Amino acid sequence: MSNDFTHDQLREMLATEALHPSSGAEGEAVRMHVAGCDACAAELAGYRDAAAQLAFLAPAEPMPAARERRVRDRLLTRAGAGREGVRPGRPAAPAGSPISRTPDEPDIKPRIDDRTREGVAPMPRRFGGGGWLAAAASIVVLLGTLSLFVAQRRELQGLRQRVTTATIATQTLASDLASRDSLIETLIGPQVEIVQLTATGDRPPSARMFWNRETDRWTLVGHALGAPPEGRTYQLWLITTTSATPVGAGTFAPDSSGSAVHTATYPLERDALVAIAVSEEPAGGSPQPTTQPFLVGSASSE
Amino acid sequence: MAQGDEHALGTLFDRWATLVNSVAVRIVQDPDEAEEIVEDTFWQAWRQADRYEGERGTVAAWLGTIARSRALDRLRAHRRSREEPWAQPPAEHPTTSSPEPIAHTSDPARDAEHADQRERVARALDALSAEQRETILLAYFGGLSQSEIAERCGLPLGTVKTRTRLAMEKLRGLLATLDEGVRR
Repeated sequence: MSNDFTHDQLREMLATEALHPSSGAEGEAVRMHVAGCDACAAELAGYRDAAAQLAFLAPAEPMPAARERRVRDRLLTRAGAGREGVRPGRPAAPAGSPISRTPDEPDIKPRIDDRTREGVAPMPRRFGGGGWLAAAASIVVLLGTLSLFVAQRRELQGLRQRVTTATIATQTLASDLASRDSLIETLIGPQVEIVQLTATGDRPPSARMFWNRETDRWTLVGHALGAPPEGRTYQLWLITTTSATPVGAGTFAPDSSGSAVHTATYPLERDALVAIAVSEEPAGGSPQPTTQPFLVGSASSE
Repeated sequence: MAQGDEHALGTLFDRWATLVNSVAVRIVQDPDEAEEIVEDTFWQAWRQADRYEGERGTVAAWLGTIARSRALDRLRAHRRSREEPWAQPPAEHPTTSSPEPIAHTSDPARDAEHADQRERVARALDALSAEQRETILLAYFGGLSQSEIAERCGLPLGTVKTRTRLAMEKLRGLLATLDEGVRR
């Protein structure tokens, strides 16, 4: 089917195929083509990787804690049940089948007996005693080879799984380190300016804003923040000389310990920042503050 | 993980549940259904861990792809059963010109990383034209085929195909450039 299209035509289809695999003739042609064209296969993989990263655009939607715990428990229960039944990487075989055995069971001999008794027809007498011995030896070799093949395949599968697990663990670790490096880079360095925010009333929270002027990244780190009331959230505001009204810089909520890290990107000239404030707003945020801020920090105070 | 190490599955879940749930909620717009998609996604990852190839993409991208596929399956099933009109156009993605909130969790470093990734992809998407951006988002989050996008936007199919191809080429290049920038 891929013969209906030229190489260049198929190559032009790769990008769309990566974004939305087609079930039609074109999709089939592309899949057939990439199976035999390393260059296009690599190009398709590149497009798929780009498409996969679009997942990060989904607005962050953490699961409520109870729901998250429920799903996690169900998954682990299912995984545990699966492990006790059919172990991944160790396919089950029907009882009595040639590859069915308990771990303690000898690998070859019982099956020779079984097969000799039930599955292998008696040899004609003309083979004589030597013929029988040769046939038996052939079966032993055959079953031995089969057993070796099964064992090696099982071992290979186990190794592949260990590599997969190690790869995931390594990636996760590397990702964790990268994210911490990224956070540290945002918080320190000569290009980072710090604005201290203090509570306006009796409320205890405090916060610091780390403004990385090189990257225009703003990172607010807050402490002792109470949970906002139901249907409410906290919203960060930048008061600048370039805008007549406060600039909304996103909403956030603290974790169960009262801490919060909120990041945003907003390019601003150093002299244009007047103050930073946090107010309580309806869930989803407000175009402009609707309540008095409970945390305020002046840009000139540092 | 596929060896039966449930701890690995738990770790994977803790690390990426928010991302997977975000993709699911974005597509199906229903937290209850998203919950099932999250479970399906991690279950599939658990069962098919030996198919994961680290050199071909990150764990996050792998999980995001599974979640999207699961969510789109459900979305299409709903559309078929209800014969409802297509979903509304995707909400505007985060841009680099205005601050965006990040959701809270108990892991600030993880939040910061997600925000970084999101910003990086958003920055790349911002470099596309509005039409290209719309096409990409309709296909990715709306699960619309090229023909469906053409019908929805009132455009010739060829125009949509060309637009998608050019957009994906540009997006791939921009993401690679931004990756280089991060590594430097």
